[in-house]
Amino acid sequence: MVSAMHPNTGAGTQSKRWPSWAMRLLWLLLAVCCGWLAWRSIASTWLQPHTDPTWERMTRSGVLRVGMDATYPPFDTFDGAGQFAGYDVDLVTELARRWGVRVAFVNIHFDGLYDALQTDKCDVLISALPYDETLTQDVVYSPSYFNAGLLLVVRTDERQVRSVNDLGGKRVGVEMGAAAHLEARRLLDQARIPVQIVPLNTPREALEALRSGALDAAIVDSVTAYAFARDPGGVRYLKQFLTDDQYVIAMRPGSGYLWTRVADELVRLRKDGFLDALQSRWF
Amino acid sequence: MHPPDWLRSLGHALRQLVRPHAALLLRLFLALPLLLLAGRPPQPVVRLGPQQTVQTNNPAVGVHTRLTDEVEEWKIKRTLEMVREMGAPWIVEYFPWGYYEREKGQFDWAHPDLVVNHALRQGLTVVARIDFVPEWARPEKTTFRYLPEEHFADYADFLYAFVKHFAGRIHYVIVWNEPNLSFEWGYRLPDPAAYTRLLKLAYARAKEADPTVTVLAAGLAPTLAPAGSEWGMNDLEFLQRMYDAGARGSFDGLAVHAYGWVFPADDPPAPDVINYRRAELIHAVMARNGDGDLPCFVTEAGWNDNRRWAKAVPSGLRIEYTLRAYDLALQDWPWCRMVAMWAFRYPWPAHTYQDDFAFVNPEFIAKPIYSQVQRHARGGW
Repeated sequence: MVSAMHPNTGAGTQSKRWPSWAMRLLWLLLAVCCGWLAWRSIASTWLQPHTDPTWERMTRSGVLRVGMDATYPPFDTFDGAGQFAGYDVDLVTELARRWGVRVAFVNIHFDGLYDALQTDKCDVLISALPYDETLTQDVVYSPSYFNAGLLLVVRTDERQVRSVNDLGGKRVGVEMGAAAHLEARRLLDQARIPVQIVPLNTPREALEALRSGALDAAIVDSVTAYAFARDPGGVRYLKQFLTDDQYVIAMRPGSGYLWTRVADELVRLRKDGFLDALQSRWF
Repeated sequence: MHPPDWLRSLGHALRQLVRPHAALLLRLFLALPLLLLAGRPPQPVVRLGPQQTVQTNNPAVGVHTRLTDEVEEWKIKRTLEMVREMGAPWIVEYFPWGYYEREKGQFDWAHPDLVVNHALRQGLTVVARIDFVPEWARPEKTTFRYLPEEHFADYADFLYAFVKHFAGRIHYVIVWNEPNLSFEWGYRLPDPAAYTRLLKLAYARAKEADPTVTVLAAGLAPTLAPAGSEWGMNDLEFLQRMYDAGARGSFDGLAVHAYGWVFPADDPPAPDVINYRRAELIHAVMARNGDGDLPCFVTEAGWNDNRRWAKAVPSGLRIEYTLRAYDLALQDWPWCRMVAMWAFRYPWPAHTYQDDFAFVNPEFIAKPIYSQVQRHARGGW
């Protein structure tokens, strides 16, 4: 293309071609533009400001204010001494330790959590908070740190059931009227898997019936599944979730740097085995 | 006889004009029906359909629908079809005054007509709750629950227009909602005497519009608020004070709110407990004041199965209590015409515990409680 534009080639069109100095100028301008765009991209990725208003307030005061509804054990509750306790409490305390600040918990009713965040009553929300795609214009969510969705549970000696597709003709226990019941009905009605749904009063009852051999499988939430598989045991859960109920940390919009720090730390906590240890401790 | 020369010339000129474009003109001619169709005003996509009837073994079964903010007609129709298919002959629906009379005397009945016509076509009986103050009827910086006394007559005028418009279609109207809560009274102290004055005016105007309409006094929020509380007044006390203010004779029946919270439907009533059978205490106040023969309509009730709300119960218990509540009303409460559980379906999720009152989710997926009520209404458990 460059040679085609050269003034000494292409007889008959020479008078219409740009002079070489103009071409050089054009290329120079293009190069400058490309360089500027590349710099913008690098800067936006690597040279973000190391702060945002929330992070600045937190580091200045040395306190991370955490909004939490402490009525949801084992995630958010109080211990015997009246102190905040639970999976979420340990998680955010570890985050704060890594950032060199202390945590101040603000106990808020679950339905008021988002208002508390918007009105600056707290810096973050950690409260077994499910990801809600309809609120992403109002808050910034961290990556998920826990999936409380539904799992398929079978006895430890069960070898036939490897997924929901193997549930045809099997007796599957669910909590009556709850999300697991809906999911089992979805498998029956929509996925056309002929499961025999056995509604029971609680997820734990379903797992006990499974362990005793009265059922072939059970659909329960992951927290119940993890806890029961450890104690009293006799059952195991299939790793693939049937539904997702992702717990996340919510921050105000404009907390970009805090979000980055939270996201980075969650990756490290997962890699370090901290999240697994938390799970073993609380479920 | 030959045509005149000028006509032949004209024909010739037209042929000259048309012949080169004959194909194009033919296509235009063929496309004409499409153009005419495109120019027609849009026709209704959703039709009312044939007249239906509700099949049920329990004529007291009802639900509170939330179609006020439902825009799409097919969703309105589908909701009401599902109510019928569940076996509920009654619905309670909210008709906000402020939506339909944005300027004094200018009424827009398009949306409520849609809801009511579909409900009637499904064989349902509609109980209409009417409140929500339009901006022109209240001072600036007040909430839509704030109705100043000088505008009581405007509310009554609206009720007149509403009853007149829906005469023969809606037979039950509720005057206001939970006036014993400060929130529902525009963040003022609840005032039974003032509410009674509103009720009297509204009753007179509603009867003027249609003498056969049944006017219900507002359902009171079950509350144990202590005397002098800025948030609310005990419902039993509020009702007694309405009678003291001369409410008797100004309503044909009473709307009752009877939430069960964490207690079973059979939990015995007591003045210091909020449970389903608190409705019996409300009726006892009516009986004490000579209104024992007036019917009650439970226009809000129910249990919630949110996993993390302190006043919720497990899903299985919610189903059990709800079925028992319907039965109890039919068998043991001769003064109760129907029980409408809160709430059938919301147009969109609230993302709070409120979602767990619903029988059907916004995507029309029926929760197990729906199927169980359906079985109950068909005579099984």
